[in-house]
Amino acid sequence: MKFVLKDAFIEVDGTDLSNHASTVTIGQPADEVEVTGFGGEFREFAQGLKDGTITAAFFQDFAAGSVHSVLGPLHASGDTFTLKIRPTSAVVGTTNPQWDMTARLFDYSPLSGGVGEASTTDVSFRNADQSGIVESTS
Amino acid sequence: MKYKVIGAANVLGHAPDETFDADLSDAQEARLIARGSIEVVGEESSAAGGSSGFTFQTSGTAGATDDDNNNTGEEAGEGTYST
Repeated sequence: MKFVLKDAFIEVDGTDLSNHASTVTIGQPADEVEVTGFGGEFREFAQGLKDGTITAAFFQDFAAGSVHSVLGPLHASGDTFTLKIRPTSAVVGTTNPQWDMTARLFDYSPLSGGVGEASTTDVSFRNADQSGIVESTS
Repeated sequence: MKYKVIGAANVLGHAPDETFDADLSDAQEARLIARGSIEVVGEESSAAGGSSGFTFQTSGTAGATDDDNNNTGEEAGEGTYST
């Protein structure tokens, strides 16, 4: 059944920020490494190193335990932390997989928006260890 | 360690005002406390493991006698204790 995002689960360093997130994207690009040799008519490509990037947009909130108190210190310290993403807030399962990534935050804008608009912050979490983005169904 | 969720957001699957046991890294515990998400409310609950205190065991055989008077539990109901 086609899936509509309405209840995505986003946990950053143990804190559930789902109700402050409006977009989430899990990216796992791999380098395209050309391995074309003589004798053929087409280029050939192999998969090189992979990358893991999870982007999300949050509505800013300066309350204790909320968006700024989570993202600000993680950006300031450069500490690694665990990201957990699921299509819905239900328990992990075959129809509700979870993606985990050990991440670092390299850029963080604590304030952004125009007059009368919600202040939002777009963040890009980058992979920080050799596990990459791990999918689980249990 | 036993924690309580004190912020507005769920922490590690636990709702606000809920207490839970967890083995957090020092760094993550410090971050969660600093951001106002959790507070420490005690040591890990006893159900979660660990042992302490007094145990009493009974052993022995019905009709046996403690011939050498060393209380090593030959007699039924005779116990040994340890701490």
